[in-house]
This record gives sequence, structure tokens and C-alpha cells, in this order.
Amino acid sequence: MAKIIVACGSGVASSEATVGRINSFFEKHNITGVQVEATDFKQLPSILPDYDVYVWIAKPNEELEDIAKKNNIAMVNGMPIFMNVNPEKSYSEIIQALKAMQS
Amino acid sequence: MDILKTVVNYVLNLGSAVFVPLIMFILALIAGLKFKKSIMAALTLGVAFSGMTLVVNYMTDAIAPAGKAMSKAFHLSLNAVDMGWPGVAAITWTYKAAFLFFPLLLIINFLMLSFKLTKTLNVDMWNVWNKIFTYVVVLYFTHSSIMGFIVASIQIVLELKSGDMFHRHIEDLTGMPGVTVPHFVTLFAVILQPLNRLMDFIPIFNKPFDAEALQKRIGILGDNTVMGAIIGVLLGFGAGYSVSGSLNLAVQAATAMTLFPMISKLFMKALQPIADAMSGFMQKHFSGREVYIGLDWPILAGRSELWVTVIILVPVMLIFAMILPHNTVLPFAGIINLSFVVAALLITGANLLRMIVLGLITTPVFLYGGTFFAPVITNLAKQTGAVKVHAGQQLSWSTFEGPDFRMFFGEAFAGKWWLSPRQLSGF
Repeated sequence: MAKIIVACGSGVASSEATVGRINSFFEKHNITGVQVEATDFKQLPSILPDYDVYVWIAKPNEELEDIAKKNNIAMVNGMPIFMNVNPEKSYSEIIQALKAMQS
Repeated sequence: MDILKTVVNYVLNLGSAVFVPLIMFILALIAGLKFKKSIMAALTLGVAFSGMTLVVNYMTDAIAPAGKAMSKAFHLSLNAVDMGWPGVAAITWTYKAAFLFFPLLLIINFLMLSFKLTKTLNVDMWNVWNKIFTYVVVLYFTHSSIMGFIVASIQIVLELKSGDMFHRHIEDLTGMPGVTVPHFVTLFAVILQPLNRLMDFIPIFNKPFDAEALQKRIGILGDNTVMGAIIGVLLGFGAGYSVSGSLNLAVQAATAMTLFPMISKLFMKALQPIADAMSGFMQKHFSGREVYIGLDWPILAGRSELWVTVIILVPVMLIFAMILPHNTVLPFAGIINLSFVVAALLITGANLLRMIVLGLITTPVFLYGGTFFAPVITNLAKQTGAVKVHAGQQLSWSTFEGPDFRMFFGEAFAGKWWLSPRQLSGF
């Protein structure tokens, strides 16, 4: 199962809102087998290696970029999803990352 | 007529955990959601409410006795357990008039955009809760709903103005154009900015510090579970518990701290369909206009400075709680001071040392804010039946958002424009 993580201040509001939107997108397009979760920035560095895609709503710092590079985690700009302004690009990047995993 | 009255009374007496989800269900249907989704949203809200009741009660049962024992041993009066913003937000969402604040926010933002009084389009419907809470606070002091709505409206206007004002800073800090943060916590800049100006004259405060390296080292302490355990064990020792007693309290505290965000998430899950419908409506209406999209503050949270600052301030908060005279707040679930750090990040341009010093100076403001507002929070908890409160016990929030704003407006609209010495000694 592919795993996606979103992070925000407390892992409660902004990240959960983004998770909700990604989930409804998957539902609408009959995409199954993807787990989308929310967490907070304090815990993110320690759990990030367990995920396949990191959808960010705050610019990742160097530490996160290093972890992503080392563990082959795709980074996707989730701001358009969070803002609800032209989110299609982010969704297609997520799909691409998931497809790249399969091959 | 009598039948109608009976029905209305019956519905109102159902209790918040049923009444509020019922309203949610009706609103969801009006917003055009499918029946199944509306049911899910309403039920999730009820579950979130009951779940939060469970966790807050669990936390209070574990922490309050230790706080009491510690108060006795050290001659303190720490009887107000800190349930943090997740706890306060939860009981606020269950307030009967809560849903009226969505349209209030929309109407004010709509008018201000139409008359070009702001460029900020606030789509952050989650933080409607802090407008509701301001209403509750003002209602407590003034006993007038109208005053409550007026102050909540003032808050909405100031937040939008703050969104306009900080838009450039936010672009600099995040590298993202067209967004801003019209969040209540940015208004704390009013208190922080004079202090920040003073620091301009001290050379050391103009040097940059590497926060990222520090975050790697102390990051683990910011983990909810670890932090809960550490506070728990310290509290146990402070209360004079045995080693086994203290370790048990550590696990209980870690449990509460871990569960808080898990339950809090459910509120977002439940409210999202409605929130999305409303923000979508606003965005559609103003599409094509140059606006700054107003989002919740976490878009700034990628900065290491923010996290290093709040983690360093955790022990500071605990020490101040012990030594500040007349403080009643026992810091726990709200100990990560998100209520000051966003404004501090913005006005200092992410200068770590300045942020830490501003935090040190203003920690007492938040603890005294928590002390001052503990009766309001306790009263709200009792009124909504959200959590049980034992005699001699209070609930509060150690990093109470906007203590300055809410105290000034709460008191001013009750006719007390200036703090009398009697009020100040009332702490």
C-alpha cells in the first residue's frame, strides 16, 4: 500500500483538511490502496522515512529534503490543494509519483 | 404554539453532543451535500465531541490530583488544568450559537472586499472557532450577545487588516506569492513589536543563528508523546509521588498528549465539507480579482526557528508557572506556545534569538491570561456539559490566545475601560 503524508502545525487542521481533499480526489477517480495521513512538523522528521510521498503545505527545510532524497520519497507542492486554487497540477504530480513507485 | 415550543425545547435539551451534530446535518444538506455525506459529517462531529470529553476527563483525572499535591507541598495554587487549544476549541465548537459565525465571517469579508477595504480573502474556516470563543468571553463579562457579536466582528476586521499588512512578510518567509495569514495570533504583534524595536539597538540581536542544526538535536523533545511523558514524570516528582507513581503518571500524561491531536482531527474532518462549500463560494465570487488568499498559520511552519523557539520555551513555561505569584494554571496540553510564536516569527523575520527573548518576556502574559480566563473556560465547559469539573478545580489554557485583545475588549465592553487596582489584585 502506498503511503502519503501531509504535515502542519499540530497535525489537526490544515494537514487534515488537505488529507480530506486528497482522499475525496482519490474517491472521485476510483483510486484505491493509498493511505493518506496527517501529522505535525515536530514529529515529521522521525516518521517521514515510512512514507512514499510528502505533500507539503509549508516549504520543506534542508533536513526534510535530505531525508526525502535518502529514502526516495517524492515531494509534492500541496499548496494549490490547501488553497483550493488550481489543484490539478498537484494531483497529477501525486499520481505521477504513485505510478513511478509501481514501475 | 405550545407544540412548537415543546419541540424546540426538546431539541435544545438534547445536549450539545446531539444538538450541534443535528444542526451540522441540516447545514450540510442545505450546502448541497449528499445525504450519506451529511450523516457522516454530523456523526463525526458527535464522535469528536464525545471523544474530546473522554480525553479531557482522562487528563484531568490524572493531572489534577498531582497538581493539587504539588500545590500543597510548594504552597502554590495550581488548580486550573491546561487543556490547550484542542480542548478549548472542542468545547467552543459545541457552543449553541457556534454556526452563526460562519456567515458572520463571510459577510464581513464579502463587504470589505466589495468596498476594497481589504485585499485578503479569508478561506480559513477552521479558525472561525476563535471568533466564537471571543464571543463567549465577551458574553461572560458583558452578559450581552450584541456586545459579543460586535467584538467578534472587530476581531474579524483586524484579522483581515493584519492579513493585508503581513502579506509581504509572508511572501518573504515562505517564498509563496498571493497568500497571507489572517489569523488571530498575528495580532499579538501589537505587544511584541515595541519590544522588538528595542532589540534593534542591541547588536547581538541582529546576528543570524542556525536553527536547523539545533532543531535536529532537540527535535525529539517536541514529540507529543515524549513531551507528555517528561512533564508527567516531573509533575509526579513535584507532587511527591513514589517512583512507580511518577512513572505511571508519565504514561498517563503521554497518553493524553498523544490522543489530543488524534481526536481534534475529527473536528476538522466533520467541518470540512461545510467549510469547503463556504470558502469555495467566496473564491468563486472573487475570482479574477487580485486577492491574497488567507490561510491558517502552518504555511509558515516550515521554519525551524519556530519549532526551536517553542521547544526551548517549554521548561520556561513550567518554571514560570511555579514562581509567578497567584498563577493558577498548571501547564500541560497547551504548553507549546503557538499563540505568540507566529507573530514573533513575522515581526523578527525569523531571528531565533529575538524570538526566544520575546517568548521569555511574554510567557507571564500568557500564564496570567490563562489564570484570568480560567473561570470563563470552566464556565463554558460546564455550560456545554462538555467535561466534568470537580469542585475547587478549573480548566484553562496556558498559552491563551490573544489575552491582551480579549481582556481589553471583554472588560471595555463591560464598561471597565481602565483596569482598577482592585481588578489587578484579583489575580
